[in-house]
Amino acid sequence: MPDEREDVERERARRVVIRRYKRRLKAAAALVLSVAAGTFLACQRESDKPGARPAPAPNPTTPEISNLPAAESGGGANETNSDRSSGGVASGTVESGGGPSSGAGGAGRRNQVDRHEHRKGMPVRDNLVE
Amino acid sequence: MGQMVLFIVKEIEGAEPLGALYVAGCLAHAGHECRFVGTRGNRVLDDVRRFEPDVIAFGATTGLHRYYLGLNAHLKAHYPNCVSLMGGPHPTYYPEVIATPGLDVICQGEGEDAAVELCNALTNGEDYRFIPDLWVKREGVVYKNPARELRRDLDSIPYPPRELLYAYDDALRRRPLKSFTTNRGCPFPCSYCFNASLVDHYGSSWKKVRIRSPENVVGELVQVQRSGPLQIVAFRESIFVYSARWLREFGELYRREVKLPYYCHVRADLMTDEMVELLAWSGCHTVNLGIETANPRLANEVLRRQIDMQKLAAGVRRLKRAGIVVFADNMLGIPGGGLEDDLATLKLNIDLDVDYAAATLCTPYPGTGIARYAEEHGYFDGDFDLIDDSYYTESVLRFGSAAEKLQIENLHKLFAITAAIPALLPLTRRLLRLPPNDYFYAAFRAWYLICHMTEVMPRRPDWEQVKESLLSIFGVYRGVDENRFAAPEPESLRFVDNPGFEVKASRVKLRMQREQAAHA
Repeated sequence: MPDEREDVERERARRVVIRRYKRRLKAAAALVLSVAAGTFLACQRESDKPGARPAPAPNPTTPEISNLPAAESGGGANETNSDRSSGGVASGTVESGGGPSSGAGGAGRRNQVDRHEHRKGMPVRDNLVE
Repeated sequence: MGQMVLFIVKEIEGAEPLGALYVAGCLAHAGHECRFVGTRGNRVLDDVRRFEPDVIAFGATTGLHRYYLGLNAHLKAHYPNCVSLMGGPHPTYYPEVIATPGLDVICQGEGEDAAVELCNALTNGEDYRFIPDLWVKREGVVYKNPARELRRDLDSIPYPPRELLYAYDDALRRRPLKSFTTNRGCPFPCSYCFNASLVDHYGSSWKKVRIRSPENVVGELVQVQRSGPLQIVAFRESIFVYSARWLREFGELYRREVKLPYYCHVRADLMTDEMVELLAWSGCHTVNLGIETANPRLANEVLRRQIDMQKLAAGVRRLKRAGIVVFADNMLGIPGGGLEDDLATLKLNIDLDVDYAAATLCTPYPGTGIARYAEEHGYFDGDFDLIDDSYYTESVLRFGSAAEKLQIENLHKLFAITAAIPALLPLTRRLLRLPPNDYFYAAFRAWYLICHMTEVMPRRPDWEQVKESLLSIFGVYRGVDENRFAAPEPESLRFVDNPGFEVKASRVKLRMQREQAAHA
């Protein structure tokens, strides 16, 4: 029985090591993907649009920089709800190749670039994967 | 004929909105009709026109509340007779949100019984101003009601009617990962967590965890397994397991009837050898646990976790030795901490060899201890409207300098991928000084998605879902959200307590008065 136990532990330890190396390879692949994605999104941005570059968030400690989100940033990090008041398509939205949509209700929901949601990192904590 | 209740869920494509589904299940059981709609690629006003709901309902977290308030105002402008109901963490923390024009009722706490009483009253034409757990706005007056007693028997609550989600979009039925809960409540006083606001609302009874029986949980799992593909089970409660005995009973049934890997939340310092072995034996593939910070002062004085860091590390190592995947939560930008603390947290994650080192930016949600701490110590000015609907963007707290704030926000984007490839650490330190940019966001999202799909919650690929996830790294989503409207400013209203009760009435007093009313 102790031998069995040791065998199980050795097997687990081996799997953990293999998992670690696989993880590093996958993370490297993620890096490559993110360089491509970052370049794609940078090219999507209209370079002559004021505030098109993601603006650094202001720091409230310095009196000359307001803590309030910059009202004129379009699609940037400090966008507020009032900036999205048009009720129309989110800023920075560009139609991509209009891929197929799946699901019974998906008929009208073509693929589109939504930089506003991308800037969230993930669309809130309920995301496509979890 | 009951009410028609339309639940509007902003990210319906994500994890199932279990709170709203439980409410819908109880409403359906009471004879009301419920429907769910999403917002991405869908105009919600068209759904309201089509279904003509009596009640429109939202479950809002802070930050997301502005989105729902704006959408609600837009819908109410067209359909003023609809009753709008907001539940979820934001109104529980901050019931004063009812002062927003267009919002008629807010629900604090769990919501099942309050929603049923509200809809029954609407159906019967009865006065619904004095229902416990609700704040109700009528003719410029807000009627505040106290908390009701918590339902102790969770097995009596109907299973969440997931078919309502599938009726909206059948792709949701085909998702290989589905969410469940096994208990409610939490005994720990962590200052950043919404549980504290539920203790404020319900009293200390919230800390006494209510647990579903293993038979009830496995019954639901079997039912869901029959209704669609299921490859991995996600348990979403604050802490999945407190008792080795419960876990053993659950494990027996789960291994016999379900036989799938599962994901759950645990506290690392509760992970004894026995508990870890039972988790591994019962089928646990991944645990999500909080490391939060490497700094014991921040962990216990600011975050109030009541945690021994050595026990935490020992628990993580036990889980790793058992072959369980460890998904660690970490919090950056904690008030009273700084960049070096956050880098130390990153190093701790590397040392513990966690499989995914998640990071969020510390967010002072209203009603939490961390918000009070941050305000008292000058790290936050108390303007909760600054809080975004995502804690993955920027911090609303004050730091030592603008440069430090920028670096912490950038570290947040590169945290997980640096923990996965520790050799990147020197490069990451240099990159922190750059302006925020789409490369950092893409790195954050790419590693998150790849790690989740292949390691944390592994599943056989549904190529459509894999494609959608990969496209999202490039900012490409299935449809855009056309339901963004400005949230109106709050109006000045008169607030009155439920006559005969103080809002903070004890539960004992409430129970005594109910008994007196019943005898009268």
